[in-house]
Amino acid sequence: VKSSNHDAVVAEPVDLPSERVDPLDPPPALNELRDREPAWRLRFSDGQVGWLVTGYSLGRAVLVDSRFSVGTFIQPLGDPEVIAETDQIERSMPEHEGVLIALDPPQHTRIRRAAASYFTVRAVSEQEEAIEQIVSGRLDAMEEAGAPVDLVPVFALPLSSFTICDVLGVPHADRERFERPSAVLADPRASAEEKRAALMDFSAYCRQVVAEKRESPREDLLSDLISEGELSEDEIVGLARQLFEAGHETTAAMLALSVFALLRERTRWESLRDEPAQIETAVDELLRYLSILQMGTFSRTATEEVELGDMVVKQGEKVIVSIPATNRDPEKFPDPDELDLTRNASGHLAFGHGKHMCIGQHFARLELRVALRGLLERFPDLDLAVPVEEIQFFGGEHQLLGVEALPVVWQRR
Amino acid sequence: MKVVADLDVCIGAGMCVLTAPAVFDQSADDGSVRVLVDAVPAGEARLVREAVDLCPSAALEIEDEAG
Repeated sequence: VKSSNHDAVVAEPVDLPSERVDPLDPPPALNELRDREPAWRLRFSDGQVGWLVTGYSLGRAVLVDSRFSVGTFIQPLGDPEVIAETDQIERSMPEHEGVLIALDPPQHTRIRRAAASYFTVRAVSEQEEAIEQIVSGRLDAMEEAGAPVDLVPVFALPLSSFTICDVLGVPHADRERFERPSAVLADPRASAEEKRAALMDFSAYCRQVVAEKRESPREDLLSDLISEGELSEDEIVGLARQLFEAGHETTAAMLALSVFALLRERTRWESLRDEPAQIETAVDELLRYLSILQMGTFSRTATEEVELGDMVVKQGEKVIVSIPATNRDPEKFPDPDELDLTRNASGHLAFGHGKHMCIGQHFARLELRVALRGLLERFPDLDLAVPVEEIQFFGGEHQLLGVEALPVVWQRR
Repeated sequence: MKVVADLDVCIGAGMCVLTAPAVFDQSADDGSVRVLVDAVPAGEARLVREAVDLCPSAALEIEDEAG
């Protein structure tokens, strides 16, 4: 029987495995699923059955396929009522029409293009000096504080927040206004009520920023969007909210986790210190290896029946692509569980793929590169201040993989 | 070898510029791809194939493989 080869097609739906053994490796049960089949029937947390894609090539094929729409947002893990209610609140807000991740073409294309000039390879590379200055300021702050320092609040978080402040043209002191609501929205323990309040705060802040830009425009993305007049006020507010949120949390989590990965086996830290030219390659390998979007991509909905490989997605069914599983697929990345800082990891799915691929990916790469270079130069003997086992990670129901805190030490020079 | 871009689907992700900067650029207006050469120089062929493969919106296509 043909289908007997295809466990996924005949099997009962699985739950997304979330139990890690090594904090930096995908849950072993997830790797096992991937090693058996590229797609599985998945039970989402609301009981709905859809698909989990674990294979690299199938994952890319799904993400580039225009027969999938964004649809309503559901997750494989987490309180289904809170997720559904938050999604509903989010959809009822007028600026929803500017939130890229919730849009399909042609609206998505129009809005993304309006913002794209600030995120091109060239535009981002021109920001290198500005980011160097931000990094240098944070390194000074670490020195002033003196070892031991928690790298997350002193270095990683402000660095990424300041960068998005500069892109959107708001004072660095505004970081609280978007960091706080973003943290609540990302927190799997927060109630729907808390998330609603956070969304309202966040929305009010973005609306206020856009109003101020209209009043006194400067040289920044939001002022440009307003003066070009191609997007509505609500669209600009929604886009701003998404950029504030996506612009700081992921990069901050990725940066702190990268430093942890390098310090956990200090030979890696030392190899980058001795050969800083390797940092550029190392950044993409860290992105692949750590794959911090641990829950996978945002869910996609099939607008018609979609047959890809052995997977037949019925119209209306939801699919998520597991980024940790696909980025460790041995068919694409030989010896995938090895963090090899010299590997060419191009093609990894850490920024997603398809039309929703991260708009800020070049900023993220640049921030990671400049930040790692700065740390390696200023604190060549940087080390964890506590035993490896004491480092705490966000829970398995959090969208992101990351360290709660990263206490580090160095010798005074 | 010739490479063509479908500007209707390009989202300006810039993977092509990152991969083969001698062949691709992005518009300063909307980030969409600009192919800088009529014929891809032989030395760039491998990178152009990689760029075509990496494009997240499948906007690039190789035409005239031999030419």
